[in-house]
Amino acid sequence: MHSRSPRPDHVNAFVPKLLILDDDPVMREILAILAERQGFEARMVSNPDDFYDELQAWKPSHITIDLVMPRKDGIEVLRDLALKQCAAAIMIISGMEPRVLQSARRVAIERGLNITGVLSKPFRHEALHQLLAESAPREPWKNKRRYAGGLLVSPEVIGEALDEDQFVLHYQPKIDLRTGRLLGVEALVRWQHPLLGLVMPDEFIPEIERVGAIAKLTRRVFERGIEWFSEYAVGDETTLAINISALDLASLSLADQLTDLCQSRGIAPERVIIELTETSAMKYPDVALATLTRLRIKGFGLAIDDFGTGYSSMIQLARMPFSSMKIDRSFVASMEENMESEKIVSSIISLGHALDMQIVAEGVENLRCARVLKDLGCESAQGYGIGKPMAAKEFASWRQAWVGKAFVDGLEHCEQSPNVGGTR
Amino acid sequence: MNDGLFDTEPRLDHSMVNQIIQLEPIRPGLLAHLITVFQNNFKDLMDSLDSQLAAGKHDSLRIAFHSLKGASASLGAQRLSKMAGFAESLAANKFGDGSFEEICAALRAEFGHVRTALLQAQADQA
Repeated sequence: MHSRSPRPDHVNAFVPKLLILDDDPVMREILAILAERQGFEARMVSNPDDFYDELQAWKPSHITIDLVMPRKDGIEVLRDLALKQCAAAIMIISGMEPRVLQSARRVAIERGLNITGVLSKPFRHEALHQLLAESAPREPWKNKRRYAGGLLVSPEVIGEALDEDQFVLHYQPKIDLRTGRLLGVEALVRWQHPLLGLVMPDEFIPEIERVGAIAKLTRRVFERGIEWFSEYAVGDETTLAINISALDLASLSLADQLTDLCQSRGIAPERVIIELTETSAMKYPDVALATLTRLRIKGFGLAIDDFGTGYSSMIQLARMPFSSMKIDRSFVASMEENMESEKIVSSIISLGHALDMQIVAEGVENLRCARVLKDLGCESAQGYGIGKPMAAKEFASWRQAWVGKAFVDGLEHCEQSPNVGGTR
Repeated sequence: MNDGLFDTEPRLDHSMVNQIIQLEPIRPGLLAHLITVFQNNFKDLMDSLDSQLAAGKHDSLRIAFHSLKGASASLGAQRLSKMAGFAESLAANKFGDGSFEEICAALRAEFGHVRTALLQAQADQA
């Protein structure tokens, strides 16, 4: 292991620490010097064993990982980092082809790691400078796997949380890309935990599923969501989207329960869209098919969520009675930097249209992205560039301030992607 | 191996070398240091090739050539990098066509040229 300290330690000064794992000594040296120039303290290791030692003892805030190395490759190291719940900002830097780099990135993100970028070797020094500048470690409390440390989620805890109304809904707008009009909202559940603060669903839903309490939570979400919607959406044609779990589909009476709930609040089921992930829908396809068909018969809309991340076959997809398809944010968000993502998005839109589905793009973060989607034929979108998930009061303010025409005008003035339209 | 196979690649991409030279003010002697590191690494690789091949460690060879590909490219040695990439793919196929000696000889020869070019760049900088 080689270490160099670029400047003396200052009391209370945060000096980012970069740990470099690369078997190429020239690359290690270059990475270290560039990082030091940017104010990092850098250490270099050539093999995973030394890397794990440094990780434990030195606790780097940033890490660069090569993919091709003797004995243990970068994917194995990333897996180990996920098991160690590493919160450092991780950059994958390799001479492998870009497609492999992107795959490695996806693998690591799916394992909950904080991947802040990938870089192909050889690289321009400016590219690394930018990557380092934009990379920040995740605060440990934001680590998705913190529950593995021992937060006890039992049916009793869930019951208590339900009793105390700790599960709250945030609302994210979905707009028409052609008119800018608000089409609907997606209700997203959060756990307002008394000790941990606001906890995101991907952190607690698997635990709730594990202890067999998901049906209770789904019902509560529907009750609260429909109650809010019945007051907020009077006199308009917007829709409310609510997520369900694969386990909810086991109940054939789900359609009846949800219909009763809607009727009790005077909401037509046609204005409610039930979302479930591609993976959930395909987990128990036969059971899912029966429940989903009943929901459609009752009038509910059905959206397949996070499309593109699961493994559904075309035959299974065509069998399911979905009315809309939501393109996963990972493809949408990476369109600008990854031509392949744009091609995938374009193909998903074509597939959805061929199956008579409405298409919703998730993860729209800016006008340029929205413009590309519109040019590709996507009808609607949601994302932080339009409106983040908000508490009810905040959503009301957002709605008042939203001017659809201004959005559409912005799209018109936004530069067209060189990859869409006539050049495709 | 066809000697002309990589002739279209420039021997040295001076823009890559210049990137390193621009770092000299904060790390005097950097280019000279990297040339030494590169040279030692190359020598270690070449010294180990025969024994690795004899032991049937084709995957180790593949990884070593991959590393050489990256190191060469980082210093702007494009032709050497392409040749190392070719050797990497040959190693992945276990040198099925008996081209091992040929590619190693070509790598050694090209490395000599690259070293000269890099030392010249270093001298020009001084």
